[in-house]
Amino acid sequence: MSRTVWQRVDTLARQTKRSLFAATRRRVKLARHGSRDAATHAAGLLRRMSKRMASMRTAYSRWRYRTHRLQEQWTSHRQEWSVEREIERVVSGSAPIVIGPWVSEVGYEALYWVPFVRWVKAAYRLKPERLLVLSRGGVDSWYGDITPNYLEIFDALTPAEFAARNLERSAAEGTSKQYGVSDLDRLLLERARAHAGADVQVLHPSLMYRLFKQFWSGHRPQGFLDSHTRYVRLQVPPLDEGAIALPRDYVAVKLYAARSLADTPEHRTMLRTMVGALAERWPVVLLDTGLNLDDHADYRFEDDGRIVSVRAQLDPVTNLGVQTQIIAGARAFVGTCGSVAWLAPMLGIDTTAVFTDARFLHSHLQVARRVYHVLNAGRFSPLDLSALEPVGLTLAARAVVSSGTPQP
Amino acid sequence: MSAFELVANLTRVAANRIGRAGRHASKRARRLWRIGQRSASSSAHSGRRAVADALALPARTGKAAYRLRKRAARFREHVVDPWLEQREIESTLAVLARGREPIVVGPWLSEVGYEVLYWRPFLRWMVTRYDIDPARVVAVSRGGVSAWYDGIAGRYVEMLDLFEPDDFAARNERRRGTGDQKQLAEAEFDAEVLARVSARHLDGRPARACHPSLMFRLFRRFWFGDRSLDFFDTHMRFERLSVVGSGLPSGLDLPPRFAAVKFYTGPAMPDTPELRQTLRTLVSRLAVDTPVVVLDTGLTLDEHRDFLFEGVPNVTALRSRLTPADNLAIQTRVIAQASLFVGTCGSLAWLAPMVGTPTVGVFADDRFLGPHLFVARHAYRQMGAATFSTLDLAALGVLGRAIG
Repeated sequence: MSRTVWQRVDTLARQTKRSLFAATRRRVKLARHGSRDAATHAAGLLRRMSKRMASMRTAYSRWRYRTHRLQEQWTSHRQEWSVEREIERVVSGSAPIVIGPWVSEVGYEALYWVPFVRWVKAAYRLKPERLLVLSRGGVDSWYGDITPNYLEIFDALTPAEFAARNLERSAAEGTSKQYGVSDLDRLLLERARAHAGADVQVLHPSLMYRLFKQFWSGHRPQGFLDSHTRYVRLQVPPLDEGAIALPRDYVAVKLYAARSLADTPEHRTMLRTMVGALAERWPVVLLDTGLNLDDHADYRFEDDGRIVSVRAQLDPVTNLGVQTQIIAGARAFVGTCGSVAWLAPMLGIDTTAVFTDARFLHSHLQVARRVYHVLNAGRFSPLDLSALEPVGLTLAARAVVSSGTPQP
Repeated sequence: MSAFELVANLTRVAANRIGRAGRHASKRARRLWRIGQRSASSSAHSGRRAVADALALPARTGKAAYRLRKRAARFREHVVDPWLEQREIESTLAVLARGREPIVVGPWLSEVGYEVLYWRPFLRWMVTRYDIDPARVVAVSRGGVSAWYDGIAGRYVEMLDLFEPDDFAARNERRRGTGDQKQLAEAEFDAEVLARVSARHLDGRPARACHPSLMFRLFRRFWFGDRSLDFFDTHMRFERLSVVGSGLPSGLDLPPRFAAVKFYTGPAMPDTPELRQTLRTLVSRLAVDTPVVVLDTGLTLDEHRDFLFEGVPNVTALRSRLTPADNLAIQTRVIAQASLFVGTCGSLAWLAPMVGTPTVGVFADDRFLGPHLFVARHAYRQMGAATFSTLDLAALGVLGRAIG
């Protein structure tokens, strides 16, 4: 009886407790669920917001990138238009036009400047007698189809003076390219004015450099270069008989130190071997000038009957002109990829252009390949010496080569 | 002074004055006559010039109009048309990217070289640019090249599982015969491949296809010289290719250090007896110091034929280990393990630097290689690939015995 009473009391107490705390528990449960939902919602919202922010950031960076690219393109177009306006100003009227002075690398002159001048002449229908070329080394034959008027820089300055002033110019401008008109240019233009009259216009190489910079840096297509140049096969008069004693059938060789063919003991050995082996097959005429006119010094090889250097016979005033004539009379040309190696195929001569580092030749090789194929010029074969060793080919030292140390 | 003298003087003065006035008058008259003559002649000249100018005007206007027309045509051809084509292709890609349906990239039926050097970087750019989930992308190619599409496509369909190799080669040959080696437009065979892919791998749903013609049409403007190198930077993503794991067929034991060699015929390497001899000498020289693994497939899936080097010591051929469905995959893995790759400049020679293997691309004629070499060097620099150098056999010919 007492147990039954106790059980009822206990049940009653439990029911009372349950009814007293049920509402509280429910509220706590609801609050817990509510806060969990709120947290989930907040997390979702945050996630969505961060996603949206991320996409906005992507869109913003894309927009910034596009704006930057547009700005770049706009700048390059403006530069191009400014150069074209300047060319138009130069060619307008009837005053004589001085073309130059060309004081930078031979390679750029052969591969870009002369074809550019040819384009200016054709595009603006300029008469040859209005033009006066100002360059160095007796390269009048390079401009032969453009104008007969040629003024030699070395008639105004001695080679040593020229080299010193040109070095100063390069140091001051931080580049050997003529992106602006330097003091040296002004001095030479004064001499040109004294020759052609005070009232002359100047087609300065900086116009070409500024225009083609867009191509070299990859902002302009090959077609852009095609539409601002005219390439032709060059005709040069043969070398006067007796002027320089040359073998009957020879290979012309011009190897000089450059960034693409650095002066290292290994390269010297390879080049010496190469020249020696060439000499076994044909007489070799070395086009080393001995003139220190720029930062490219010629590699020297000893004369040994089969290898003949024209160094002693070259006059600074005509050295490039004579080298051109010698190349034009050769059965083949082998040389550092650059300088007159760009010119040799235009003379119809099969050319082997040697290098070890193609980084600095990238766009020039592309232009050369394209142009020479179109021109049906001499075969142009770039030879990457760094490719020989990996494939087990060596330019090992040979007995035929003189042991004299080549001097760059 | 007498009156007579005065009169005489006055008369003389008068006569002098009259004489002077007469001289002046005649001088003026002469001058006037000269001026009149001159102006008449000048007027006549001007008239003649005006008439000549008027007569020449139509010709001159015609010439100016012709020049203008020519310039406009050139501008349209080189600037407007490429831009319009580019816009059209980009819109097509944007439409493809929308939604969640699978996108089939391919079928790739052209040369291996274009697939490696252009198609893969183009797809990688597309996936990034249009924010496409790679799980949506189905790559369709041949030779087991699924590794080439890692990070681009979630799925890979092997065409040689859809067609028998001989049937595939014959149909592709027919496609080339009726059109072009390059897939400049979707051919009948492409449609058939896509239909089979859809039936077997997409539950019969029609495939949204990103056809290689989009890439060929976009980039041919570069090959023609109308697009700059910049254009590639904005339409391609160059990344190195990682080949994970060995994955070589059992029984194929490669030396620890070897050179992989693949020479095949093509415009850059015509099949002549002299070239065969030169290549044989080259491979023999190479094999003196390093074991050589020749990647000749013995398969005739395209118009290129492999040069063989049977009987050369220290040279192993891969031919017997390859099947059509995995030949490119195995060649890729072998190249990735090699210490050097030497081969015809094209095809897998473009791939080797991307897998980190120093490469020498050999050619005898660079007529068609110019733009590709330009792009390849740029791409390798961008992606930090292994060294890539070229060997022109014509240059070796000049050097002759200098090369030992």
